[in-house]
Amino acid sequence: MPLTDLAQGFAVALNPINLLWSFVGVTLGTAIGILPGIGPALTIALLLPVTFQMSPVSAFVIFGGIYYGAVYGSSTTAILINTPGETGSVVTALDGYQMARQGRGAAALATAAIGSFVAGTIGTLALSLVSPYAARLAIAFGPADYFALMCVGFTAVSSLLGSSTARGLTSLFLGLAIGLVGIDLQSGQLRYVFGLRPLLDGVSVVVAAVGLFAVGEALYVASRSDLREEEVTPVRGSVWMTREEWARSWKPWLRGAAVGFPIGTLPAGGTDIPTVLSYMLEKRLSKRPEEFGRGAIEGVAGPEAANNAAVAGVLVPLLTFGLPTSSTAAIMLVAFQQYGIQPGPLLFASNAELVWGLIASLYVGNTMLLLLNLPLAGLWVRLLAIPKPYLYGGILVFSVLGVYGLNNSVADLVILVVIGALGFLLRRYDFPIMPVILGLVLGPMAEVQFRRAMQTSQGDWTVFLTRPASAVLLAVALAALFGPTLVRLARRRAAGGRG
Amino acid sequence: MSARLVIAAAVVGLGLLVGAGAANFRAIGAAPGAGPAIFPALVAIGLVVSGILVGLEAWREARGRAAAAGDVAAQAGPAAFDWRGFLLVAAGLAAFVALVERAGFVLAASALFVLVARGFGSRRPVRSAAIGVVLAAVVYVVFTRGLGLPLPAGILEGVLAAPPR
Repeated sequence: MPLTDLAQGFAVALNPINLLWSFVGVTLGTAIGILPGIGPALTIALLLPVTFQMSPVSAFVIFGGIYYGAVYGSSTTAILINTPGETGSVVTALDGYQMARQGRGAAALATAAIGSFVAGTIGTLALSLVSPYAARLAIAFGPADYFALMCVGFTAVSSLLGSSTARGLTSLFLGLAIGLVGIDLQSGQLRYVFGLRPLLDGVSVVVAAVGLFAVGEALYVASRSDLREEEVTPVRGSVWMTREEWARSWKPWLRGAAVGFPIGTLPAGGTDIPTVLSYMLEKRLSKRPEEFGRGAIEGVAGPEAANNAAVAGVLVPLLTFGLPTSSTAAIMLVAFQQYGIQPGPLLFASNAELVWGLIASLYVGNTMLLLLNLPLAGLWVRLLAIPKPYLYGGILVFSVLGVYGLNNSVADLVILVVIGALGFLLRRYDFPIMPVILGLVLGPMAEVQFRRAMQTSQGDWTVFLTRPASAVLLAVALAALFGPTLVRLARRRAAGGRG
Repeated sequence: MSARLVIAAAVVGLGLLVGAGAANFRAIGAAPGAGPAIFPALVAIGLVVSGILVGLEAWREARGRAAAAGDVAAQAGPAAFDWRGFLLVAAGLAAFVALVERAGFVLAASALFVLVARGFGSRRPVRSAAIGVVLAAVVYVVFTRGLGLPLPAGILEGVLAAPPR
């Protein structure tokens, strides 16, 4: 019965120490959400050496707070300076920034914060209700089914995000290739170590994530002098929403939650796609679609609700199947593994206190975020007064600290710089980063499941097609892979026919 | 030749390298298809195929651009590359790697901070050096004393004093 489990979770989350950690997490999350150049995945990766000394519950309370807080914080910069801190708030900037320029920035911030609270709470509620059932479904999954499920994650992330399937796939296979390095745990065979001792244990996901997100990003921004300037619009107008703004906001909040949560649970759903869908939905339903792009409050309320609900959705496959669908979820999976905990169906039985404590802390953190963001938005924006040179200097100091702190090894730093150079090339030539991380984290797990399936079937490849779940999932994976290309071709043909 | 074509060739080359490695992996007692070579082989095929796809895409784009010659917008490549900023950040990272175990964390991190700040256009080296040193020293003290994570003190050992054991 989820209700008693949730009650126990609240007992864990409301413990004063965990309340404190939750506060630390949401505060840090809001800050890094506002700051450019640093996001939740990088922050959690950098914290891993420190949090490893805490109990798993406290660590995940912090991580959950960071993940939720970052979504709140990034909307603030999207509205006030037209620069979303994270990709999930790109859509918010369209109308939010226009509202800010018209002196309704405070109302835009309010509808974003309250909408995030409403949808975040609905999403967390849905997470508490759905997860136990999803976990029961996951128990029936065999190795072949798991492998097929991961294939869905791989192809969806590579082809649905970004502008080119070819580049997405390249990123994915680069990540998978990096994941191959090191001792193969099943056979003891050394793979792609090239006689280099530091490569024996493979490339650490933390080092790779910091390299791609911090070093690669810093090199890229430094190489583009045009990316370094921006202007803050001062918050003007009433800090509260008018009756009309309330009336125009509450339906988009609920619809945003309804769009965000289910899509967040899907592979490659993430927080970006739901915001775009919510925006299009609100524009279609609006009596004044011409206002969109010129400061329509629905265009802020809907997407900001959707991205918070989506964050709750992302946690469903992570906790029940062990399947991360966003970079942040992938790093959280690594954190679980660091504690020797494997997320998946058994997590709800073996680590009930951890799971339900984490879920309950999300309700708590969400409430804290509302109180922290609504009255203090103007204060948070002052973070942007940190000059870019010092901001990036600081990010890189913490990055090398986090990586060196893992094993006190200079070799890790060298790997960091090499992967940072790779990240720079990917950024510069428009290859997506997320498939690399997902390939690196999920690749070794996919290989284990693949070989387990082949071992039990005695080398019979048809095992992936004879199990219904696996066959259906592989079909979905293929559809996700070729779908966007087919749609593009069909559109081009239609356009060619007309022109 | 476009940079993406070079990247495409490098990805195909990497795929061949991964495939050549996979050909040498052996395991005893694994069912056919369950050994250590099969997954790397799949990854190798994936790298070669996606590298070729990226190459085709880049080639088609280059041809499209040649066809649209005269169209200025189509000819504009990625924004201007600021070598100075890029190299200063890279130099900062190299300095940290070279210095951390010789000169200690505080000096290495300060050097990193100053070079990165310079790369991002800071024109006040003294001020950024001051901020860098304070940041690095605070981080050092918090990590070694507060969290018990050791960091090399280096040549400042006497100044920073060894953490109590």
